[in-house]
Amino acid sequence: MSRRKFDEMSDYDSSRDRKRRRTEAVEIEDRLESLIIRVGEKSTSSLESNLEGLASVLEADINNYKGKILKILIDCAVKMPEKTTIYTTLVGLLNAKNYNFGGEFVDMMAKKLKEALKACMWRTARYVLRFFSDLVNCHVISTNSLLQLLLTFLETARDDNSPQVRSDTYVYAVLSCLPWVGRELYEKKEQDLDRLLKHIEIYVRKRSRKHVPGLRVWRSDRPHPQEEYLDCLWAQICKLRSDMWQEKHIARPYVAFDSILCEALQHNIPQITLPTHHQDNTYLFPWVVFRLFDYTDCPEGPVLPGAHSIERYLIEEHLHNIIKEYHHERKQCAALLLDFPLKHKIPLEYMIVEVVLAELFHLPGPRYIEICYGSLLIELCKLQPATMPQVLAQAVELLFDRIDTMNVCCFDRFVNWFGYHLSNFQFKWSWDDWLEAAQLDPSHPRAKFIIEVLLKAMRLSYRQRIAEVVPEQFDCFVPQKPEPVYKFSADSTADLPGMDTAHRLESAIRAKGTVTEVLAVLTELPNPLRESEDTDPPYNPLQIQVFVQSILHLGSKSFSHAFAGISKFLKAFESLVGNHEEAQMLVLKEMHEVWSTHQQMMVMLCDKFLRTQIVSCATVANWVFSKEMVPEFTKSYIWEILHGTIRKMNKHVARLQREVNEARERRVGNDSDDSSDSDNEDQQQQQQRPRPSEEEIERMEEKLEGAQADQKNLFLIIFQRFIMILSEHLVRCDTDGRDFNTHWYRWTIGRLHQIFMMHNTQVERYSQTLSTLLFTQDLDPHILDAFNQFVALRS
Amino acid sequence: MVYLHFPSNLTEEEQMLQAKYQKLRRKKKALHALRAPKQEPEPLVPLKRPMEAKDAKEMAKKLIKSGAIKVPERPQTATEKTTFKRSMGLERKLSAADKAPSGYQPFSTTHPEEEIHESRVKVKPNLYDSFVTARDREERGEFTRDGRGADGKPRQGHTIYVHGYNISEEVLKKAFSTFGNIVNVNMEIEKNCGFVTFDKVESAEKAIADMNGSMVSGIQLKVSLARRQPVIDPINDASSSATWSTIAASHSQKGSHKDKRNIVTYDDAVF
Repeated sequence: MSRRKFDEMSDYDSSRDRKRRRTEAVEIEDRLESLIIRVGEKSTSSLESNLEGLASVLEADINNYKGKILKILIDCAVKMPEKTTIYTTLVGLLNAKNYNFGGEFVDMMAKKLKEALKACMWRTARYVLRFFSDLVNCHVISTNSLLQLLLTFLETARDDNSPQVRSDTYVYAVLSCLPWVGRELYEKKEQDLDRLLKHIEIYVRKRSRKHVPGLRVWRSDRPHPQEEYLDCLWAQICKLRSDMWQEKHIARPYVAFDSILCEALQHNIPQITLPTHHQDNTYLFPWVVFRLFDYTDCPEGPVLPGAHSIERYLIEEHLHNIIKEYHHERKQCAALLLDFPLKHKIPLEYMIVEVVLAELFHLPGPRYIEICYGSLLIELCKLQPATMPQVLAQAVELLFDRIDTMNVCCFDRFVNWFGYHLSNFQFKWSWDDWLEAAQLDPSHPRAKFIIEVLLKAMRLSYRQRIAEVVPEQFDCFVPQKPEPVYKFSADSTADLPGMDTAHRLESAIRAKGTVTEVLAVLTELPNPLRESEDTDPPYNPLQIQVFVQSILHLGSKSFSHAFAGISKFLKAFESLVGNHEEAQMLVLKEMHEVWSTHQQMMVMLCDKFLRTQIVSCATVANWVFSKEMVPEFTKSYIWEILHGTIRKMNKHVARLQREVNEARERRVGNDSDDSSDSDNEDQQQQQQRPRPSEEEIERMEEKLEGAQADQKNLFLIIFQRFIMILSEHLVRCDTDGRDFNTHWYRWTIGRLHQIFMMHNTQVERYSQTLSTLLFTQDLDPHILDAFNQFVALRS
Repeated sequence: MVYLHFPSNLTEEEQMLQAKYQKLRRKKKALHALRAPKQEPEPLVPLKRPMEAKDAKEMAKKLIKSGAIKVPERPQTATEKTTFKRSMGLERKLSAADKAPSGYQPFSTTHPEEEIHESRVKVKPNLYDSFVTARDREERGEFTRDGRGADGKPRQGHTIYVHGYNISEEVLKKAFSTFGNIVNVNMEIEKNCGFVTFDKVESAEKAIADMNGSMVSGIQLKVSLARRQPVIDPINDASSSATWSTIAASHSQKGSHKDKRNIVTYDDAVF
């Protein structure tokens, strides 16, 4: 928990409690809490004297308020990792004064660690382990007992029955506490430390790296190597080791108290056995460390720590923690980032930009919603207008330079963020620097980036403005004017079948005709599918054409007009289209014909068609891969539509799943007697809602199974189509003797990869089916790789 | 300033032009002197020079055509390439290019280029600036009343202050767009004033020099450097950075964009 939240809570408590008569005890407890939480904040006296003062205050109160003090200290230790050394010093001072208190603290921390490991709370576990390590520096814990614990953690590396992610998680926790305790171990137990590091080295060497290519922001290692997190931290620790474990980043207040602390007696950490692997356990999701800058990019001022210096890791971790804590509060977050404690010793702006972009481009998905980073960057620019915008502009130029090998997921996020950022900066940019892109193949990543950014910018502004902002050489990139094309328009000279009916339909709708009247107008159209009198085709393509064109034409003024038209004639859609996939496909084709120049309209209409169940998710997927959409295939909006469709399906399944779970719980809950004093509100809710019968639950489960089958089917369609087009491409290039690695190929394989990344939790459920049905071993290795990388993420 | 080195035998018209030009120079000096006690409320003499200089140019052109005067065959140096009229700002920019960045100097009663070398200190990017929070910097950057910065350097900036009765954003944009690229316009209509931010310091200087006291659309303008100036030193070679910085520093991010589209009405409800 953050300092601020603590403060708010205590403020809230105090205002509420003031009304009551509060006891002296509560008052003292609150005061202690506030003192402990605040220690280390800016103060007129030195940290050391504050710590000394606080230690003697607490010592006096230990007898009466031991439980409370222990609880606050443990909370602070876990929730404020940036103040680890301050709290270890405090615990060290208390231990020196009161040996039993120190022992109880260590026991409680060990309990906390056990709980965290059991609940898969890896962050908490890591910070407890780090706290233990630093307690060694404060003579609270014996070196041997810490080494024992670290070795226990490393034993997971030898466990062959659990996935690699499990041992990775434990090894990472051990590595991440070495910056704190490395020096102490080196001085006191050099041989043990060497043995420990040898263990880690062997593990790091032999571990599989299949998952890494899928998590990289760039395919290329130039100019900066893209390292996996554990490899990178290992390299940083090795560097620290060669520097004799000297680091300059961590402030260590206990050094000043050495004379007091060295006399204290030490405790042993209670024996901890690690929980065994369970298949429901989630471990740290691996990642690749994002590197954008090196010291040559920061022209003046303090030097950027190298990629393998431990300072880089420590600072980045701290910055990530600030973002984690304050991502809901962009202004405060920006202020805290810029107020970083060591800001004069590092090129802070560069490190902040790198960390924020690392979160934005994080794979499989950004940690928080994308807009959070966009608004944070704007806030940073406003707070530091002299430097921040310039660093950010430099970052954009570097990203653009390296865009050729950028992951497609990150490409999309880069487009969206940059469009958004420009819209906040009057679309001003040194477009002239990018003029060369106008000469490139339109599917080249650079050209594509500019096209997509302008499309995004147009959504946030309007076409005319975008056209005025960019240089005239970019006219080829400026989006087309978004206008509907109505093929039955009165000015059209072509004599299309259904022309007259379309005009009659238009007047009928304008005259506020009902669904029945509108359908009556359409019945006059012959069905081109009917071959003889006896056959009765399931749908009439001509009717659908005329109807969809007319509705979209009449509703072309705005999204609301279009939506109103669809809603009003929903019944007509149902009777004309029905459940027939080809009929649904026709609706999408006609929509694309009318609105091919207005991508956002198509995205919104697809969403509307799905919501109103006029078309099914599977149809949208088939449409995306249809012949008609080949020229559109590499455009981002198509994928926006497809991902929206998948997301809709996923949400539907998740909702049904939740409902089934709730119903089951209610049923079970009512069976058992309510002896426990659970929340009153819960009980009331349960009483209000009738207890579901076995049949009801069965029906819900059937519905869920149906939805899950649809979801599986959707993924199967998508992956099958991907495999088809990619295999076809590879085979054709092979027979023609051409290089298969074209722009089209890279976009397409990137989009396949994007499906795995964006919907990884859902796809994971079907990975068994996918590997037996689709991604079989006889498949081209290029396509199979994408699947294997995905599977490796959790193995 | 313009150095016209004509052949020694001057025609009557030329002498007349020279005399006229001398007068203009004197007026200009007087204007500088008048402006020296900062922001005198009394109306200033409008500067008509640009118009007349243009006339003079036309006249001279006619003279050359008629063969009455001769233009020196080849200009000696690059700076003398423009033979006739050269605007104040351009002149200053050119002379500054090989010396140091130039700026508006409220106390100079003489012409800028005469004292440029002694008063100019090369502006070094201040390291400290990069790592103090915005508020710190704003407080530090607050200029003293006499128009000089805390460190005694003459003021420079991208943003100018314009005062005029009933001025509007459109008027300002029209009047000042000739001096350079306008990044932002902020209006304080109640106070009859506005702030115009240029992307270049030179544009702001030129605008102050040429527009202070002039009449635009029947409004007399008072133009000076805005007191609040965001400090922007380029720290890298990213070319868009200066623009972004200026926008980020201004209080309104929305800028001065005017939507030129027609209003769309949605009166006919089809559905």
